[in-house]
Amino acid sequence: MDFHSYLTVISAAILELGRYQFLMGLFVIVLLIELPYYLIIVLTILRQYLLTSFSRYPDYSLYHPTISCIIPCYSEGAGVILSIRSLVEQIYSGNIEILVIVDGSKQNQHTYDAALAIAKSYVNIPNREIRVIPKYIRGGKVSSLNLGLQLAKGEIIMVLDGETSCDNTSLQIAAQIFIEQSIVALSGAVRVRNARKNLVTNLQNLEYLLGINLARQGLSELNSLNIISGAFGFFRKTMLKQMGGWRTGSGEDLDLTIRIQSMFSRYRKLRLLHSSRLVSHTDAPESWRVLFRQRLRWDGDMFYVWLKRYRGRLTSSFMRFTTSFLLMWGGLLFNLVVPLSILVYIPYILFNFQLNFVLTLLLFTYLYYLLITILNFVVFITMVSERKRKDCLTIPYLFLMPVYQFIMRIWTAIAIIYEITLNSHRYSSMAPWWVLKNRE
Amino acid sequence: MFNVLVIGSVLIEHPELNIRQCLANTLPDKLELENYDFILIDEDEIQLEMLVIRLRADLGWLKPVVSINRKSIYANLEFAATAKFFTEIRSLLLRYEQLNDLKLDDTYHQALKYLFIYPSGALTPIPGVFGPQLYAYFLQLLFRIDYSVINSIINELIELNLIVDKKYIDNCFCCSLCQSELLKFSENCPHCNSSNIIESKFIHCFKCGYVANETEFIVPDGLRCNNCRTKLKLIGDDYDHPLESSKCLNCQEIFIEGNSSALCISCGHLANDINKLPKHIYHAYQIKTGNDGKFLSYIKGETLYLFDKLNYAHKDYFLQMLEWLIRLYKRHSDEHFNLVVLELDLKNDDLDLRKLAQTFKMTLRTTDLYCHSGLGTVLFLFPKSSVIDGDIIQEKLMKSIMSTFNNAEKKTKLHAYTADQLLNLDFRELWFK
Repeated sequence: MDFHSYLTVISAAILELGRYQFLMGLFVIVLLIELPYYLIIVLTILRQYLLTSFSRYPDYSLYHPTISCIIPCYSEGAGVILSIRSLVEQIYSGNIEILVIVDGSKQNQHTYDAALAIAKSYVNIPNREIRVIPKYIRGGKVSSLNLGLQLAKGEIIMVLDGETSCDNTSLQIAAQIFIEQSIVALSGAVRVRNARKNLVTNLQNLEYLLGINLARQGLSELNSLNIISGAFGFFRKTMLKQMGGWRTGSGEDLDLTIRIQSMFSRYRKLRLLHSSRLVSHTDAPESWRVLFRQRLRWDGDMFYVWLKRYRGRLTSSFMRFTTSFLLMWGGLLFNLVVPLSILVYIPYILFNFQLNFVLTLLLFTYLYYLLITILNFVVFITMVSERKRKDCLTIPYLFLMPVYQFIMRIWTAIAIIYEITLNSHRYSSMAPWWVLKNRE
Repeated sequence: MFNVLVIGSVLIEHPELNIRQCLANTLPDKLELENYDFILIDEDEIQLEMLVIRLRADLGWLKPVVSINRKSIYANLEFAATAKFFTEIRSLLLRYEQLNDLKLDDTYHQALKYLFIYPSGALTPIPGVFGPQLYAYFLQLLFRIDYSVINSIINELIELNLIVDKKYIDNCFCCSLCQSELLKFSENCPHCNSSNIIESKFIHCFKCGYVANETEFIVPDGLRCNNCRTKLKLIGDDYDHPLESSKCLNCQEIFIEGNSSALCISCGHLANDINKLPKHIYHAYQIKTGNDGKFLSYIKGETLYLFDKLNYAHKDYFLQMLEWLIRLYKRHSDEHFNLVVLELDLKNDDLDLRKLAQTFKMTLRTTDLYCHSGLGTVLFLFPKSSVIDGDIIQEKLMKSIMSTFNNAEKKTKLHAYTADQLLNLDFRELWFK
């Protein structure tokens, strides 16, 4: 097919498009609506970058509050050693209380034993206290977190997943940030520890860096952080107590973030922050099957929290206008409307248009997303990344990111449908069935 | 009604007690003490300890010692004017009575008698510094017995199945030369052997392999390698702690484990390999349940042996052997033998004999025979030994005896007799001489 005839086919398709103008228009809007959102994020990051570049870094070396680190464990086994070790090795000179809560310690004896062994080996380290607490009957991650909150002695609470480790400067940086009394919670960057393992982990690494860390950095500047990760987050204990701790069931981190944000409409000075200097490392799924299963849980829980638990409450009367607006835009539009639209439109255009037209459309979509990805990556490397050289090694995978995102969005749509039709959150592995049932 | 001697100023009146009071420095003599059923001591712990040791070791008092208002390991009971107290006193006196007919009152037998009357705690090691020991058995303290002797007594009682191991207490390294437990352990640099070493935390940079003290890596905002300038952020990813944990300040060597050495405080001997040091193992022992009768027979020495438990030949057996050797020599002149008579100034008769027995065991041939007269005289019989052998034996024996007692107080005399000399001598006369 020569170029002339190719153009003819495309023009015919565009003419045909007129008949479905409404639907196609929506598709274009969906695509274009993302651009301003990304621009807002990029601009806020740029603003913050310039501000920090021209201001002297504050040094609060005299502020050393006790930090209680809650590590909820289940079947991590020896993996829990990584978390405990990385906390003991912090350069922070204040007290660090490490609470290792082993949920269902009878069936997870290997995890309990590993935690006890490592606690024993670090018994005489000054300013470090490791307490291994067995929960003989399983109650889920939330019950572990709430138990940790009850036992914690520190004024700052840190939550770290069982297999997640963090940089040795994390607690010192967090303590410096928390000197601002208005800051009630703090989110940190989560990096993929096994990024170099295979294609799946490399793509997830880019997703974590650009889709999660970069977005959170931008939203944090607008005090509209959408989530403080349950794998790695810091909270002021008074605020957590005020909130009544975590609420039962999966998606507890998103739920807590929304509840904290709901305070902001009345207490406007309170802030949620994300700092890319706080870095944690976790193992990402190494196969597509495990990844899909994980995302089915994440996306299902997200949909449940936003549209079922807080239905009609994510408005400016419940939280700050900016937060509510950005949540609607970035959260609901990106994570709900776009995936569902893609799921509708792909079969639609496949059945209604010629293949060449469809491929061209997909090519343009790919280039559009590639452009956004590269833009994000440049911003990330220049202004956010604290491991620039290492992150540059991921450049080849940037070209696959649009495809990965496409697949993931389709999967998000499937997860949403699964949640709507079968209430997937009830079958979460994060807590026993009777705990999840009680939540209802 | 009990006859009681009260040492101290406390005033006690009780219808069951017939009391006589005295002070610590005006103790009655041994004979008068026998009239009392128990002694009640009202003194502080140090005085009580000194008094009890004096009573047990010097005055041979084996009846109960009772303390007032204090619990002490040196007192057998704490005074209480109750029926239970008097019952306990009666039972102890009953055990004492069982040994009444036994006239042997040397330290060794006194210690055994004490063990029989007060079986609980007598063979329990007590921590502290007792000469060259870090533990001492209570019996050892009461009767001032050496470690080697108490150890041989314990081993013997175990062999005879009279006492059993109740509880493991501890084990202590001791000097391979003088058996002292007072050792100074130190860790030395494996490179220069200096003990000027410090424990430190080291960091191993994964990028360049540089290993140094953690303090070298610390910068205000974290850790940075001094060699390759890399920022070390995550343990296990950027850096790790190597196994090296010590640094020698003398030669700057970094090492995992230093060499351990032990210096004996008593004799100054330096042992460079502590794994080769001997150990003294301490257990608490008690008389085997239901073995009281057997133990009593053992103390009384009721069993007849050709050799006693220390391998000393029985007097009659020794004389018979001597007679037989003389007869043999008369018939076959090549069957020459030597007799050596050792005269010692023995203070603790039986304990010294025990020490000597150990020396003989190491010095003499298994075919040699020795016997003691009980008056500080030991006789040796060396069959199949020439006149020249006699001189060598005499010299060797003297040397080992001197090293055993290690002091000049023991006035030691050795007389050697050849077979020819003995032919013209009435050996029975010799014995009594």
